[in-house]
Amino acid sequence: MLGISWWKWISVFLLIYVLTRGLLVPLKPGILDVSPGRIQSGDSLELTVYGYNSFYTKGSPRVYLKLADSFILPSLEVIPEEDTKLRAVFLLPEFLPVKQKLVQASIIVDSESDGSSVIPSKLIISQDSVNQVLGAELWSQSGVPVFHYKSNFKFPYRNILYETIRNTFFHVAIWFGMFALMFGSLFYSIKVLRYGRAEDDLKAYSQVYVAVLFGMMGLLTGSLWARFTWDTWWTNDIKLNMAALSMLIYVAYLILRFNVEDRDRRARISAAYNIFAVVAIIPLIFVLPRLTDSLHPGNGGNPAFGGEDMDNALRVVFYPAVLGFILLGFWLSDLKYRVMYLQDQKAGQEDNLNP
Amino acid sequence: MPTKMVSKIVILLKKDFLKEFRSFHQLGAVLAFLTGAAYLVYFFSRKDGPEEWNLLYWIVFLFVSFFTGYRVFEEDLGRYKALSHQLYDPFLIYLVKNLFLFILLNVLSFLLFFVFLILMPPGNVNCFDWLGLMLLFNAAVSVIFSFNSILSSQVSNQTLLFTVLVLPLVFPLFGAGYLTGLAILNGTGVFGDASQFRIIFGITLFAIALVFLILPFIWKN
Repeated sequence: MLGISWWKWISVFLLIYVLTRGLLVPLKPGILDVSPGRIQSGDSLELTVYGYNSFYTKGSPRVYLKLADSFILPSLEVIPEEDTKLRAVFLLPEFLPVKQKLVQASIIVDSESDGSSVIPSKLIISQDSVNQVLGAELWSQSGVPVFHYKSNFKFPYRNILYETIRNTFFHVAIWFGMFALMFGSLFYSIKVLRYGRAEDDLKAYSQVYVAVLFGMMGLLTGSLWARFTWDTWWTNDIKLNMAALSMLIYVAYLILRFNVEDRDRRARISAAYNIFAVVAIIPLIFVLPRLTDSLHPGNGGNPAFGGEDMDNALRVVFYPAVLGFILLGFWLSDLKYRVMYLQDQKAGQEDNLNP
Repeated sequence: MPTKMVSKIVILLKKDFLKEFRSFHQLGAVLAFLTGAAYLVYFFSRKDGPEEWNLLYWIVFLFVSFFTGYRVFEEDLGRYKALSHQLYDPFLIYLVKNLFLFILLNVLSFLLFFVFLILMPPGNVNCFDWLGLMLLFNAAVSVIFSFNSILSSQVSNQTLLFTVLVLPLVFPLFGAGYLTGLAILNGTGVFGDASQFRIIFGITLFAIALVFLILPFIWKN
């Protein structure tokens, strides 16, 4: 039993691994929010920092304001109130090291227990008059500090995403599974047109059937994710719309099959349409979104799995998830095929008994 | 041999045009439909900016091309099945249907263009750019429509099936056509921002190649 279905066991093992590790590994410490959000240069600032998964009471944290690429201002005093809340006191120099009167600063919290975490462009600093040279001198006096680094295995903390970053293992991996099934069905559709075997038609159909199921789950998990991160169930993002259009093409395939009664004709026509559909998916999902700006990684010029998008801790779970969902998809389609094959056999026997 | 093939193409093309326009009333009806549609959208929109003009043009043309395309194989694979399958090469029939649809869609798109131009003038439009866009766009649409017309003509409720099959496939094409049309109306021209134009060109080549590869397999009956 294990011999012929080893890949099913691998699928089970991988998906259990993805579920446990993907859901149980905590996120790295991060900064949820800071208050106040706006300050005047030259004033004294008491900044309250709200952390996430942090231990501010343990690691004697230090807090910094960061401007542009190279200007860092350390806090005069840090008072940890709770594990996830601290107060930091700054004395802002009279001038800023920039030409603008209004500038956004990032906040960095660094401690021995948590390592360093940052919330980018969160604090707006304004100045009445500009003196860039003096501002640069005042801001660079302290020099660049050495930050702590924690090497324990945790998923990255990203503002906006928070815990939903784990959806990468399901939403994206399900899409990979869907594409694998679509290309699998393409292979069997070509075989149908080449050799005309009914079994190949059933295999192509069962794979498209599960691919549509995966596609719907991909749309659903994507929509839920969009609701949490972008505050909307659906956006005008090109990748979203092209994905929905691809689903429509495959729903059309299913409708086409239901409308043709003759088995041979159904096999040939649906195989031809399936080849057309798979080829149409390539420009819709892989080409068109790359030509315009998109919220999704890998489109509009940004990299798909570059260092900015995919942390190595995520990769450890993501790649097994992709493989696991691909294998699960083929497993489900295999079950669907066997059911349909038996139904066909039964229908054939009944036809022979009642000609 | 090529002369014989060309004469066959001409005969089949002539048959299609005769069947489509066996009386001038039919051509009049098409013109009346285009004028009526243009007038209706103008009457209800009351807007004459390039964006509205372009959007209305493509919506009306979507319907025009859809109703023209869905029945190109209706009779050839129905009443005249014997003729289609025995007297002529299937490739030739498909090629002629493509040509017929391509010519018809171009005529209709230009009629619609001029009706829109007269009723709702959008300002300066480069007619040659528009001609280039429509020639390329109609080439892709005619290939996709005639292919799906073959598929849907083999089942009972063909109009519904044709709609379901074709709309998701041509939707991006119409989107690219709309954006290129807008670029022409805004004076950028087809080659000013050619990214959308290249998409249409790519889809056209893709569709032609694919259809001619798959066609021999689905014709067997």
